Amino acid sequence: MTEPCDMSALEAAKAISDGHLTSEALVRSCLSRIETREPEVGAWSALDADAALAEARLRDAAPAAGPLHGVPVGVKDVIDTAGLTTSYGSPIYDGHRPFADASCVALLRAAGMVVLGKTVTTEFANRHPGRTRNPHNPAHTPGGSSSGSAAAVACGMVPLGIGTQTGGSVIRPSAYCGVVGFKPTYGRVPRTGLKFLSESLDTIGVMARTVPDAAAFAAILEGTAVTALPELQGPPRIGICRSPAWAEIEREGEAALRDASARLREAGAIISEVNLPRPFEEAPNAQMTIMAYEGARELAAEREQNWDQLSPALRQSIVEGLGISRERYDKARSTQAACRSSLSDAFGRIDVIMTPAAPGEAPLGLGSTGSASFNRIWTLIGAPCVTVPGLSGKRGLPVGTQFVGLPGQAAYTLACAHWAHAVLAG
Amino acid sequence: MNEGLERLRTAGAQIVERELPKSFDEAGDAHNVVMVYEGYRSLAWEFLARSDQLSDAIKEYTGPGRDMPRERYDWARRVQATCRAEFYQMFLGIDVVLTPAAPGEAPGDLSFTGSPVFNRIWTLLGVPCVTVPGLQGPRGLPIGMQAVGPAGHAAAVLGAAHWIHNALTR
Repeated sequence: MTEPCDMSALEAAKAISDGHLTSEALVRSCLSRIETREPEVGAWSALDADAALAEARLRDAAPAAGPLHGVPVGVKDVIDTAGLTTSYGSPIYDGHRPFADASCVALLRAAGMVVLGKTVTTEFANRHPGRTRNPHNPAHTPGGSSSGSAAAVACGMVPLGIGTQTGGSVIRPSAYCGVVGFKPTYGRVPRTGLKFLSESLDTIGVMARTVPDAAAFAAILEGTAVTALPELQGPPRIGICRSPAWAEIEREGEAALRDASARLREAGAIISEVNLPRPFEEAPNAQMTIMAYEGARELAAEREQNWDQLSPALRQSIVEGLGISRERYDKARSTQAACRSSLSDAFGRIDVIMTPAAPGEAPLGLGSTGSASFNRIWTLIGAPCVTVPGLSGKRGLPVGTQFVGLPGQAAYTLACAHWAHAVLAG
Repeated sequence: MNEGLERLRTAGAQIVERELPKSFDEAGDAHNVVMVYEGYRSLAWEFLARSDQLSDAIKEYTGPGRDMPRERYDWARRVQATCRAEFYQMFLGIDVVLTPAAPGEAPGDLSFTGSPVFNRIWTLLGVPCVTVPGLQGPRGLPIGMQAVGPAGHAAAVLGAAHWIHNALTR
């Protein structure tokens, strides 16, 4: 029989509302999985089992407040939680306990969900890794920066996780850990209570094991009505985009994209190649410029007061960011606007873009969480992105397939990704 | 305002009247929708966990953001984008837009900090605004004049505002 912790979030919520399961039993099942797997995986930065169980009992005593009532979540540790240690992946904030919940956390609690704990992030969601290992093979990185949320969801420690993406930090770890990752359109999930890394790019997103779970959870975080995914009028028209990062593709990534196109075509999808409009040539540089320039300023206090507690990688990013002229930053913002407004040109005869979620399988070693090359241009333009698992590489590690839509059309993008997930995982 | 314009004309400014583009008819509404929808979400924890410590004013104004449909918010964001794109048209032949900074002198009432009606559309656009003092109302209180420029041209707007400030206080 399936352990409650391995159920999808919507299944578990239905079992709770039907009286077959309690939130407390679900949380206990998650805690027991954590006890087994945490020593190896290291997904959690703060866990208060008693508080989570007490919150679950409150949910069990109350009427359903939303479609995921009673379901526990892991919250990336760059997001504030009242009373629960929030360290932003930095020793500067060891033991820091925020007074208030971030808005997205307040919204999920109001919808009857339960905060199970905080998940490991790289330092300030930048590059310097945390201690999390890939649950499929502990010698490999789980990806980052939302390392703990992706790893925890992958091995059944929790059905849902919150991540954030500035470069590739929701999609890449989701792909490396073999879960569904969803980065909504920029600006949709409120960011009050998020430790910013780059205000023009930072986007709160989710990890789940099914696309409908991800969609429902994201709507709750957005503070908007949860609706069913739209019905597709037939198999989608998919545009394969090799993206400006193609030089970085690895053999597994290339084979997976080929495999995915063949299987989706067989299932009825209309597959074509899509070339991005001209402004996209500058998109990778523009994203890196904005992230470095803004990052150096978002972290002004830490840079001024805690320089020696920053990692060498972060110090280097800050020095780079401070060396960027405002003219160069302004030019990058103009490129961002030009790419955003030209993307619809690429969508003339397709419904959704399909593109690698990462160069290949999760790299060996924990020193780097991998490359954001296949993610940064989509983060730049604020487009909704969904990665779905189903394929794997030579070493048996998961390889994700990413679907990208037009900003504001996340529901349709999710529906296409859901269709593709059923085909690829079938 | 009229006295300000007179002084600026005397100092050598060329002054013309301009109408806002048609899309701006909806700008006030759009600003209000964005502020209420996002405001509730920014204050989600305070509304959900500490509502007994919120004032009636914020509950009445921002509280309705909770149930505002996302379609309405999306509409407001589209108006915002259209207004932003069309605002540039106004700058053919002028350097800066001059407009009141507020309806008049500061109101004689501490329960109300005054109306944002002369500010909200510029905030919606995200354009640089500078208010400068130099004029006075009938009660001897200051009246500001506001200079507004196109997005990303803050230095030019500050330059114009500096000139206006000098002309008004000369």
